[in-house]
Amino acid sequence: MDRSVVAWLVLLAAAAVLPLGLGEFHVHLLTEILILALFAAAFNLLFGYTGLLSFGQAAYFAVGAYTSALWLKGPWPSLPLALAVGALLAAAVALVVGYLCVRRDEIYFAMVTLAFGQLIFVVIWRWREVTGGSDGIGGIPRPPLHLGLAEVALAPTLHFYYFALAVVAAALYVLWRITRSPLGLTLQAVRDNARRVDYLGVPMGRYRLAAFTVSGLFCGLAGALFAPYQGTITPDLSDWMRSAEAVMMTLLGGPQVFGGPVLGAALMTLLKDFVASETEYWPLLVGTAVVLLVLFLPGGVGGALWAMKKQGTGQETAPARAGAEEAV
Amino acid sequence: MDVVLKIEGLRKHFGSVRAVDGIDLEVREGEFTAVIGPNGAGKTTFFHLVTGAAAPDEGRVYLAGQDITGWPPASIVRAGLARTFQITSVFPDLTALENVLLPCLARQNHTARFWPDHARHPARQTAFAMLKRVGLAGDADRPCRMMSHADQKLVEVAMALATEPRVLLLDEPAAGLAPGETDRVIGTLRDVAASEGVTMVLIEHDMDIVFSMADRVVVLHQGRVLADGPPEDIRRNPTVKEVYLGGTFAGRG
Repeated sequence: MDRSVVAWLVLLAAAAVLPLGLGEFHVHLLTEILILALFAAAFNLLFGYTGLLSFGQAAYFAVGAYTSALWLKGPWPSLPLALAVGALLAAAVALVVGYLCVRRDEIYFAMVTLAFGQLIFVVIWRWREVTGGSDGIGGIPRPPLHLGLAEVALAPTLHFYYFALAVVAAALYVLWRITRSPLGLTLQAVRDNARRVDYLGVPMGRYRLAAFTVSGLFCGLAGALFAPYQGTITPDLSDWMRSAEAVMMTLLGGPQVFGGPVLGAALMTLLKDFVASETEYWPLLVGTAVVLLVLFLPGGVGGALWAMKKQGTGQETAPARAGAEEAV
Repeated sequence: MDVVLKIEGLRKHFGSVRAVDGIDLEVREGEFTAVIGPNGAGKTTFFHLVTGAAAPDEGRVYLAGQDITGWPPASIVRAGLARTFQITSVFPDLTALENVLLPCLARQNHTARFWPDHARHPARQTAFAMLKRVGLAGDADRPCRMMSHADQKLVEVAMALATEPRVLLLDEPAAGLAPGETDRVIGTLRDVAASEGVTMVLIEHDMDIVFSMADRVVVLHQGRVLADGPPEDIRRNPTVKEVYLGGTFAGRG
């Protein structure tokens, strides 16, 4: 079997066993890591694989979260349906916004996605009747999961953790397959030399739009999980600060390896939790840590591990490249 | 021989600059045409208009009888007209094989497949054969960024061939190469042109290359065709000598 597959299975097994020895608080924290890992990996499909720096991915996370929250409080409260509807609506919004953004490059793309992200933030903030405005939506239930004859309660923290693990693992698997597929190769070519792909018979804009929509779908799925996880959601979910978090987690873990953002999400969440329990100035410390890492480990922690592994096995120490999927 | 590329009254002005000022040209199947001319003669603009990088003000471009004027570049490539670039343009972080695999996948309309592993795609064999064709079989798994300039040029040729073109436009394939490398790249191009039967149109400054490769030379001057004929005729043409060659054939324009 592929070594990367083995590595992922080991990680999955660890994620399944880990919460058994932990208290409720830490299981809660692990769930957050899972959700943010999916958010960051979805962001990185655009950034690391397609070469598009979006500063507005929180908008799709928020669309997923609000849709899921409203669905769960509606007449058919089912978690799988809430996730599906949340992800699909986020993808639909991303398709429209992406259509207007994908012709822009680099900083212009970042600015346009930021502007649309803030636009969605304002809509959520102002549309009181639906979103609850600045109060947000509270009391989001976690209805039990119907599995044929059995019914699994998802209210307990540990149960919800396993549900989130299953969803995130499946979503990451799909993203991973995409990065290794012909579509993934095409996106990496767009990243490397966007104007060139047209001259090979590949209409570049369409592929950027596809990446933007798929990224929106998975950002929305992460958000749709987040609503029942947190129980309460507020408009700051869609704020640009949260978009910046996706960027930071990815840079921390390394955009050039598939597992980088997952690692980054774990590091950032743990760092935040640890530092926040020691001092109220945690953003300062977390920010400093990110700056230092970006300066001294430009490939992120994941990129550095990947380079070490390469050197260890005596292979050509090519600079870490996106799509070096074998690294975890 | 059939006319495979036909250009009628092509015109493009930038303000008062008449970059391309009414070009008519017919390229027959299997022919190797070189387009020469002094700097500013309109060669690159001409290529841009034909490949869809820019839209002409006037005139039509027909590929195998089909009007492709104003089509987007990707559609023109799919219709069978490929190009390479003066400034080498590859995907630096992808391997040589992956660079060539992309147009092979595009040819089969498989670039949108998101589930199978591209490393196991049957088109990989085709891509490998293309690399072998340009003498780079041993470098298939090297990232393009780590290859020499000449090798990158050849990867670009393999990429263009992988689109299965009827006509291949080469924009100064020897630009920026050391003399020894030039021979290797041009030699490979000549082999490919002979064996694959691809119709080639070449923009080139190096007169040795032009006169050694081309069946036909088209001289552009101030956006128009100044002369058109077999290399020997062009070499002897007094007008051409005056405006461009200046009596020597060896100098780079």
